Amino acid sequence: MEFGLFFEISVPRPFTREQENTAIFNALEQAKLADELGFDRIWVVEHHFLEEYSHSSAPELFLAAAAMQTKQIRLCHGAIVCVPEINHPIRIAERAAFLDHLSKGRLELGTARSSTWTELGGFNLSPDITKASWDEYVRVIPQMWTEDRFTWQGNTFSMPERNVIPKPYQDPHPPMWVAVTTPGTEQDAAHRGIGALGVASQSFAQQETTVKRYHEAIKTCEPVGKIINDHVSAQNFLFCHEDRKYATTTGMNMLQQFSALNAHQLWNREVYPSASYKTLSNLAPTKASKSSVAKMDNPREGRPVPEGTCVGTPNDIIEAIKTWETTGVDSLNFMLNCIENIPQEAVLDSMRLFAKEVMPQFKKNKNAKKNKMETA
Amino acid sequence: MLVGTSDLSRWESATPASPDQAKALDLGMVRWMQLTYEPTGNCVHLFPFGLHPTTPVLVTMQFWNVREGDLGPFNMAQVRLTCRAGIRIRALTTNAVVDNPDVAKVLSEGWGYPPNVGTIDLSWRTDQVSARVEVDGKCVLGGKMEMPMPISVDDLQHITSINPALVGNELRFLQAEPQIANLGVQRAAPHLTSFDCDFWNLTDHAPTYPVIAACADVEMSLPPVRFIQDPAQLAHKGTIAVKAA
Repeated sequence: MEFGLFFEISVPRPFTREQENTAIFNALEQAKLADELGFDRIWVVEHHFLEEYSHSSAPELFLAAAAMQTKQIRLCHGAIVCVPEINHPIRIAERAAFLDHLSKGRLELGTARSSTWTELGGFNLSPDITKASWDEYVRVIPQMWTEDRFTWQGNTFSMPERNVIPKPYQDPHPPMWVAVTTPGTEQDAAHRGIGALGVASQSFAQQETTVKRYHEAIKTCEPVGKIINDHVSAQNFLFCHEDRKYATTTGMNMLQQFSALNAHQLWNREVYPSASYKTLSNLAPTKASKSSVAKMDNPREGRPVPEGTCVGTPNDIIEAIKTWETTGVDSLNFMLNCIENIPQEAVLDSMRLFAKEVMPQFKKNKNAKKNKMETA
Repeated sequence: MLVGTSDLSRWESATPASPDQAKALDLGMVRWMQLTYEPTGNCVHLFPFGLHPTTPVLVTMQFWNVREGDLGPFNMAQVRLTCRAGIRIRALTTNAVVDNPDVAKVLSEGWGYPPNVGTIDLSWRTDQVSARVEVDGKCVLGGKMEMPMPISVDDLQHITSINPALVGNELRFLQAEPQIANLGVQRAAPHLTSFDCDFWNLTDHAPTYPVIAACADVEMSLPPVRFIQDPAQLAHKGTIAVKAA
């Protein structure tokens, strides 16, 4: 099992310049500590106009700063919106390659298409074309990275023959992922030979089925790149403390804040009738396990920790992750805070305790998976 | 979390309603059209503390052409603002017009729809669906969608209305939940030709940025209101079932 951090960079109201600055620099400090503690990845989202929920509109700049202050950790775009009005594919290929150099080959590229009217409407783009443009992007970007002369005449963009430079530091190119919020997108990932970056909540049973189907499908994939990334990751929350009551209260507060903010986004499917956005999974965990209810001193005080959520004592979290392992998920990506509700020092202490008590339990299985990236 | 900032005097002209007295209505086959726009300006002051404005707020102009059913034929126009009550997507009604005074009374008393009476001309052609609403001889709303194209019936999601009304002597927001089965749905760009911001209680917030228009043949019924909300409280604290009112 590998462990990553997932940064939304949420900012509490009322917005001030100082609050935004604090949220950004707190995240950078967490990224630096994660590198020192042996976490595997940091993911930085791309969102636009999503007030309070995510002020991470320029993740490539965050990753550039992170590249300068870290040594080992993988730096992941999680994920770039692949529609022309927001990001031209040439610019994505260029920026990603440049980041790969700055980080000496630590970049991973997540792709997405956005699902809120707030973002799609804000860029005056049609929700109908995002799936098609995403598909085109994931096919051309690896070619831009690896071909000296590249030309394209497609549906969402065209270009005459050019050499897109620089080429990435990693040879042949960085691993690619797609953010999976809609059921079935994991199949899109598998068919193209790219990783499934889970950002929606699923029960363990659903997750196991998803992973199984993904691995079945990827066996017969037609890779869009020169390498196959057959990793499946899942989203989670982390607050680790020796005092279970404190951990649960603090962690659940974060989780509830995130759930509420997530639910308050103006989802495209709610206001813009389109076949392109039929369903969207819940991004926040919902179901509490019986064991987490049993651990509460008084179930009437607060809410129990949802199944598999990494909130609690080190032993609670070890127990949760062991269950995750049985689903076949390769990595868990943790949110550490929401609208800065948890003091930064408490977040850093939680990371340290997790690294000391929990991470070693799972490191021993890590090497077996380490070199899973296969040449296509 | 973003919440509305308006004090409740904004709804001081709300009319009385008795949602506990309403009986379910079958409206039969209805022609339905909705034009959606983004308005100018920050709309947070158009909502009370109990509702969360969406970001952005959308203005939906909705038209019903009811041709049969329990109330007989009538046309209706509503203007609403998107928001959330708790986490649920809702649309706060800012005003409404019905072209039949008896129907306006029923819908107002049972479901809290504002009881304005006016003239509503709806035209349904294969190449264009249009609407024009007049009150006291003045056009307060005109709009159309041209060359609508069919889409799947599953692609259109309806948003429940929240209608401000007086229940007892208290201002309450009634959750009106028409049950709508889409039989055929079409979509096009919206064209707004006339909009009286003052009449629709959207002074300084003209709908200016077109989002989408949809029209549909639907089967519609209007069950009694199940829940009402104290607009001064968040939904999870201020919502009660009608029978307990």
